[in-house]
Amino acid sequence: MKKIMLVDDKEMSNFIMRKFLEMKVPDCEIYDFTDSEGAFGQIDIIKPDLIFLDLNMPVMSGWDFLRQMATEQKLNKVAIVTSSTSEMDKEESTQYDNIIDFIVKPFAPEQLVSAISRV
Amino acid sequence: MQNNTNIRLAFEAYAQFSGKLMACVNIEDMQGLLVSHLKYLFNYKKVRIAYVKEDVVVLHQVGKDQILVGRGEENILNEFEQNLRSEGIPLALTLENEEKLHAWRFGSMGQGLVLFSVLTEKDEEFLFNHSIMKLLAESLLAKFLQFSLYEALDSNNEKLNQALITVQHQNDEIRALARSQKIELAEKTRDIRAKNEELQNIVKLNAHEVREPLSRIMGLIGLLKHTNSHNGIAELPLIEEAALELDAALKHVILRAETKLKSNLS
Repeated sequence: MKKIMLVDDKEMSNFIMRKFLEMKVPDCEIYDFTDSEGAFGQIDIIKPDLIFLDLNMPVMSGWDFLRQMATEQKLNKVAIVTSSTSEMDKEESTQYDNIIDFIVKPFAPEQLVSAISRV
Repeated sequence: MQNNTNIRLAFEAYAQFSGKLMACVNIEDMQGLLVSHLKYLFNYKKVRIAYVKEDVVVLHQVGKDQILVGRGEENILNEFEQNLRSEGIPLALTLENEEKLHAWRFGSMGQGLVLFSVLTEKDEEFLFNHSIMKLLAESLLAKFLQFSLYEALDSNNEKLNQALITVQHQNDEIRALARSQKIELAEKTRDIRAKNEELQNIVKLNAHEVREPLSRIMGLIGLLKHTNSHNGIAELPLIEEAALELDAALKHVILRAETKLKSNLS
């Protein structure tokens, strides 16, 4: 069973993603967080195979989350899920080796399946 | 025998004069030398020695009453000197008051002339040696020409110095101009950077803040379609259509802002 972590400050976003995943990838464990700092503290406990990470969040943004992962040498794979269509964000994401996908909302469920199939 | 002794004395006096002339550093020194030593070379009441070089005339006058160094245009020469200058015919006259005037021209028109005139008392005989007079006149002229040359050199040096100062001044101006342009450029660069930051903020605002709620609506619609639970929601296709239009419009705004940003940077 693959372990999937959802990190998005909007509860509705996590709800949509959870529903899609339950439909398309039933054989995985899902852990969702609206508080990115709390999520970061759980990484070593849950040991997720993939983290779906939003960028625009209060207190600890997606970029802060990624920088902190790099600092603490956490190698868990990350797929960015953002509402931003900005090329600048996409370019910045190439700086991190553990990012395997850059998904723009709204997404098709198949995009989530594709990301999970690569971990 | 008496004549030989006189000649020897005259040459000795000339040798001494010549040695002192060598030591003169300006025309005023020469005037002083003439006043103090000319009397050992020959007898006179008054002597005028005029140097003529192109349009410059310098005049020594040595005598019982008058001692001066004149310097100026042709009009400081008197009538017989002007004739002497142009004709070059030596004079030996007895004037109305029985004083005697002797005058010679030495040198050349091109190199420079010296007009040498001697006035003697009416009851006195003018005793002189022509060779010594010629030597004296020519050595005085040579010295005068040497000073003229120095003056010309000084004048040229002064002109060169002025030119150098002008060049340095212009260099300073150019440097100041370059500096002010550098400052202006730095200010413009700062302006552009501030504008770019502003644009970047707009892009972020559009990309994250504005598009985020829309993406949620669209995600929810997508979920409803997949779960086949949209029966009874007749407006759903219309909501979706409007949402798609809004999304397209926002993407367009972001693209435009980014294009402007890139053109500002390049």
